[in-house]
Amino acid sequence: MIRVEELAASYDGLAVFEGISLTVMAGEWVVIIGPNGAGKSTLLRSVAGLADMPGRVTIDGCSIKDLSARQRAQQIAYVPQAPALPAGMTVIDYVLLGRTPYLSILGSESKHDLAMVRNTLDLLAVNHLAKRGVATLSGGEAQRVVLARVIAQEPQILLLDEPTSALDLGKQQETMQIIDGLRSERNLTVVSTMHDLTLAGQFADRLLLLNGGAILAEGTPGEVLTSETIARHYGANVRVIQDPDGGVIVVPTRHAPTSGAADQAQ
Amino acid sequence: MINVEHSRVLLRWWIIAALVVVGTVLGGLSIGPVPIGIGDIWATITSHIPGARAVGTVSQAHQAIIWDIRLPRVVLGVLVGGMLATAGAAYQGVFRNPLADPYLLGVAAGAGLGATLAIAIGGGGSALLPMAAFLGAIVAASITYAIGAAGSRGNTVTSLILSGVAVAAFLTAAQTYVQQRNSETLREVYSWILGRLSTAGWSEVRSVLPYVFVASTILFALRRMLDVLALGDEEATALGLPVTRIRLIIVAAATLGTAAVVAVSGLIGFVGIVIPHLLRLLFGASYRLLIPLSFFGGGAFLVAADLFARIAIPPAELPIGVITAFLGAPFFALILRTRPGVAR
Repeated sequence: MIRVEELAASYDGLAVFEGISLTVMAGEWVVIIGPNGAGKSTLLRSVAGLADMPGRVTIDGCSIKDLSARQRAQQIAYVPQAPALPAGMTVIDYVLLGRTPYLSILGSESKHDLAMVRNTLDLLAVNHLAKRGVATLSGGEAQRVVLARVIAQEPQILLLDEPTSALDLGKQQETMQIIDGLRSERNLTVVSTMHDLTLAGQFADRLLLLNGGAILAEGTPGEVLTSETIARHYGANVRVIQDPDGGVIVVPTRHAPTSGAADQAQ
Repeated sequence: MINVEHSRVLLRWWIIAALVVVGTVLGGLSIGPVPIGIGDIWATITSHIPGARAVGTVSQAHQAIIWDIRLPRVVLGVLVGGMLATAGAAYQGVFRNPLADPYLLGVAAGAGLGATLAIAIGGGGSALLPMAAFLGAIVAASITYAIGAAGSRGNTVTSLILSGVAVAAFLTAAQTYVQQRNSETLREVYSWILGRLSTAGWSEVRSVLPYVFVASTILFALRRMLDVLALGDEEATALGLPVTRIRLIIVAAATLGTAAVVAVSGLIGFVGIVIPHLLRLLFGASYRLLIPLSFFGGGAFLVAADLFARIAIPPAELPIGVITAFLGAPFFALILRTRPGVAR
């Protein structure tokens, strides 16, 4: 369980957000949504312990400030929006870097680490890419390889900044399915930021809407994704449709929907 | 079976690298104004190993040429070339900048000022020179690091590189000033700046060996960390790496080794930037392999360049810095052209 209390962040003296408190239960997938510049990435980095911010972040009751960088990395995996894919580095070497939190500074990978990484490559169906350079992969392949590195890290918590941002529609859905599969198989807790509200609504257990330095809405996708809320915080005209298969569908429209008709369009 | 393949590939390159070094060292020992056969070389070396039985007999003159003149020079070449290439690879990794070289943090300018001052004060062939160059290099790198680390907020890498540019410009200006005020020492200073491996004997080898040993051992031990740093500070931190501390240790080791070799050999350019890139093009970018291969590759390259410097225009010697660029640049260009798939 992740508990965030009274977290604040500022950039060049300007407050990005203040007094943020939230709780994420073990095994839950929470998606942070909000317009550009709302501080979604900063919030994620703070939870990862990468930004030294005022406030308290605890993992299962233990403050992340009391953990060493290595201990933290054994529990939390963080993937930025555009992870570095160094030129000339092979997929196998890249995924092996996920074992770093378990190796001493002077150590190198054991047989166990190599076997584990091989299983991870199988799990994500990227074994055939093992000898390829990570910089030569397509967007979808690269995303799988990055997730393989994250899984090799054996964390309990995944923090993913815009995991689908550079992908085509099919690969976006595929990536979300992979994350969801890994989550249920390994009982992972997932916190991600996302721009695609429909995709967020279909996979998230809970959404948090961050804007103007505060969490302004929180709840199930059906509770948070209403055309009024989205109009207010994103300045966007949308129609929110109940998906007969569950969840909601957010469709941008040219004009503001006529009142009353939109949200119950089912 | 990735792990088995992994170690087999590594072993093969280790053996090839060692053979290349042994081959160039033998070339450096046997070729010269007086050609000397492999048998005489072997006999001379075994006769100097305590406990080993000397093989065959060698004339006094050949023995002196091998043991007192060529061998210390060749060994110094391996140490200087190996250190410069390893430090270059480490700098490129730690700063994530392909143009980083061992002289990045103002090391060359600092050593140059130190050497110029020593020559100006102590005269030509000053015994002060190596110590002054070494101190100049260390002081320059420390100032660069102090400014770069203090002036950064988040972006340490860029601010360190910029700080190095400023420190180098300042120290180069100071060096030029001292040199102009003492124009009679121009030739001496110039010869040091161009670099040379001509030695008085084993004393230079003895003076750089401890530094090169410590520095390259540290860089070798941390080679996996350089791969993690390739992901950038934030992702490396998220993987549990104490990024600032590791970077300081790597920079300190590379700078110490560079300062030590520059103090005796002068400013030999090109090795630190081109050898690591050449090896990257051939063997991939993982520092696990690149750090040890850079030592062997840099050592072999400098011995070969020195051999060429000695025999190109006898009886004169070319400055080795001229040779490294003259031979290295076209070779590098050739590899870059013929292996387009890997040059990214």
